[in-house]
Amino acid sequence: MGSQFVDLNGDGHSDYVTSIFDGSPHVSWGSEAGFGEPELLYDASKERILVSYYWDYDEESHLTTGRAMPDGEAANIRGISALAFDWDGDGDFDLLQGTYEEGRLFLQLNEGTDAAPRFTGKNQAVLAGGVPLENKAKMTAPRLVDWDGDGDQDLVYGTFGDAQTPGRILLLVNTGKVGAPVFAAPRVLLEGVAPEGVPEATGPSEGLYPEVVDWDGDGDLDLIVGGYSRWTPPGRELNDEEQAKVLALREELEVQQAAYQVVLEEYNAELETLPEGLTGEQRRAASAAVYGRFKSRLSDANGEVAAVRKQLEELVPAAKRKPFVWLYERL
Amino acid sequence: MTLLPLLLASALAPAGDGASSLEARFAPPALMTGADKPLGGTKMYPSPAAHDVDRDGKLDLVLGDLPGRITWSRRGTEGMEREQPFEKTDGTQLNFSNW
Repeated sequence: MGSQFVDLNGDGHSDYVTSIFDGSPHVSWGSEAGFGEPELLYDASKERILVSYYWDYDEESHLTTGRAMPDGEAANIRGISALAFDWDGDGDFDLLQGTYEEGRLFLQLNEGTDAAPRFTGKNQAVLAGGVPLENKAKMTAPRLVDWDGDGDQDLVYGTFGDAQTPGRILLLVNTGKVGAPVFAAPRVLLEGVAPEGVPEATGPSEGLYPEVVDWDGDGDLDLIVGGYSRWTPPGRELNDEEQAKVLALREELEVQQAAYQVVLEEYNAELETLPEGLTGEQRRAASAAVYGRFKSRLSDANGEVAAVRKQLEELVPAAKRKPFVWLYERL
Repeated sequence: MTLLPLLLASALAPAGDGASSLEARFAPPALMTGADKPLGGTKMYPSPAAHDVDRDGKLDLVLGDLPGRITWSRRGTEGMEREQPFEKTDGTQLNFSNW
């Protein structure tokens, strides 16, 4: 989820706008007293705003729908970020939704007002450099900011990346004008830290969530970036006996991991035998019953893997992956 | 945690007249802490947002995460303070909970 503090309903108080992994934008309305219980945002037809892939709270299942897609076709992409933005300059907030899968960005116009919004229920793909924006490394969340100081809103967003390829922070420069934005092709602002050969946490590598703000008050825009750092602490020199033990432990780890995988596959196979047509509550109960039968075996097998890993890590430090927040001060 | 010095994190090529503001050079990333603990260090995919939560005129840091549980760190006179739950009006933590 990204976070935007914005007066969405025009009542003079900042609201908290975000999207989460259920695939829809949510808002916590602000008041003089603070923020209220979050709720979903709905379009003019009283349908929940989304992209396509979403968690259905009634069905208790992930579903897809094409009702909001530009071509009407369902797709396996889900919105996980939202921004209120007066795209067309008509004085009310429209909505941008960024997707996890494919890292796309969609616009949904508001044909009402801030106080009485009427979102169209239909998304339009946002273009960058004349083509629909897409990111193979997936998109974390976009931020609106006048990066180049020309009076209109540019977009800065992050990508997830993965264990091999670090995420990035990218900039979409708005070359249009207020009320008619046109975004140029993405430019890289920051590369995440490549984890190879890094002995300490030195910066974010994966899941880069940016904030763009003059944090140090020196008049330019800094970046604050949340994300996972990856590194591998240096190991000590091992004697012959220890090296032999490492080899043995690695072999044992493979054996125990394979044993765990067997139990996991049996468990998943049994889950797949659950009949179709169960209600959410019935499915939850049936799944819990299956888990109950496998819980002990899964726990034991996982414990064996963990025990070998612990012994191995006493000799050879394991790769680390931990979340942090980093300040990139602009120079 | 010791931070290794890094070279300048990244740079955009200057794009000529009128585009100098697109040029971006940053100091090496500095770990953000609150009361000496890494901010976001217990979160899944921490996502920061600057906002003046306590309305004292200074931007604080609000942190979301994948499960949707919101925390924040106040920017005090001595720096960032400990990360704490971001409370709703009823005193409970703001939580955009997933399914």
